[in-house]
Amino acid sequence: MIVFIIGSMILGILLSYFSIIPNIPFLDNLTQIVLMIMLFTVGFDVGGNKKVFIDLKKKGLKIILIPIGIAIGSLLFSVLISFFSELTIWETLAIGSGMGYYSLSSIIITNAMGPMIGAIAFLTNMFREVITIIFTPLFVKLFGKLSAVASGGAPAMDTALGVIKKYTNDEIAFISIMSGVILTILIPFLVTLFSGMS
Amino acid sequence: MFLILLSLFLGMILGFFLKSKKLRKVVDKGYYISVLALLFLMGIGIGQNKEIFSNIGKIGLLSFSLAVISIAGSIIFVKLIDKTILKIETKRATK
Repeated sequence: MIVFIIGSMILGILLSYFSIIPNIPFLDNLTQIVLMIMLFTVGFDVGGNKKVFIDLKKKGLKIILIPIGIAIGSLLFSVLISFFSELTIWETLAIGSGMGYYSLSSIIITNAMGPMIGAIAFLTNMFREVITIIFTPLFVKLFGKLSAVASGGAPAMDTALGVIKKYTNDEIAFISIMSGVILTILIPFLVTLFSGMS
Repeated sequence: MFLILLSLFLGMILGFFLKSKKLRKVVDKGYYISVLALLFLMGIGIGQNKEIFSNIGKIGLLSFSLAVISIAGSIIFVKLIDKTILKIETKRATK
């Protein structure tokens, strides 16, 4: 999937950079419509995922504190960057609330804040996924098993799950899925909220 | 912003009530197609914006810093919550 994602983006960049396709005046409106279709499908997927909520009840609702902690930590620390760069507080909050869900967050941010901030959001959240996959063994060793789940954010439920399971145990892998799913539900709301603020 | 959240909600409600596996597959395909289309459109937007290309080094560094610092924040807060409330890691260690 990641190959196709980056591939279609690079194709778009090349086609417009070398002016092979002309400037599309209705680009924003088109994006808005496809964005609504995408969020509808994301919602559909999440709404049909009843098993997660049943499992969560069994395991104890307290587990929700983990994704909440991941979100708060990510947001508070991202704001720090606004003091050392030209990014505003809302821009850093919007980027930080992506928590590894780079496709969805960068699209919403581009739509609301323009291609520059959207590109930063894409790279930031892709780096987050890649760093998690590469450094999970180190994080587990230095900071404990839950740190891998925390680092992963949303990808902790899919692309990073394999490596997390390998270096922790089944209980943490279960928590990792729960946390990833809850974040995936939360992220569209947070990103839309913060990117609409500036 | 309102329309975006509305589509998300509408999807969640329909996803909760409609159980058809066939429909689920169609929606799943719709997701992949729309994501690819959106990233293609995003690419077009980036390609038109020459400002991004002249600042690519700065953007890369900024993105990397944001990724590292947000990971650090998440790890610290989860550790804090585990140490004070959940105690998932300590429970394992004493076993």
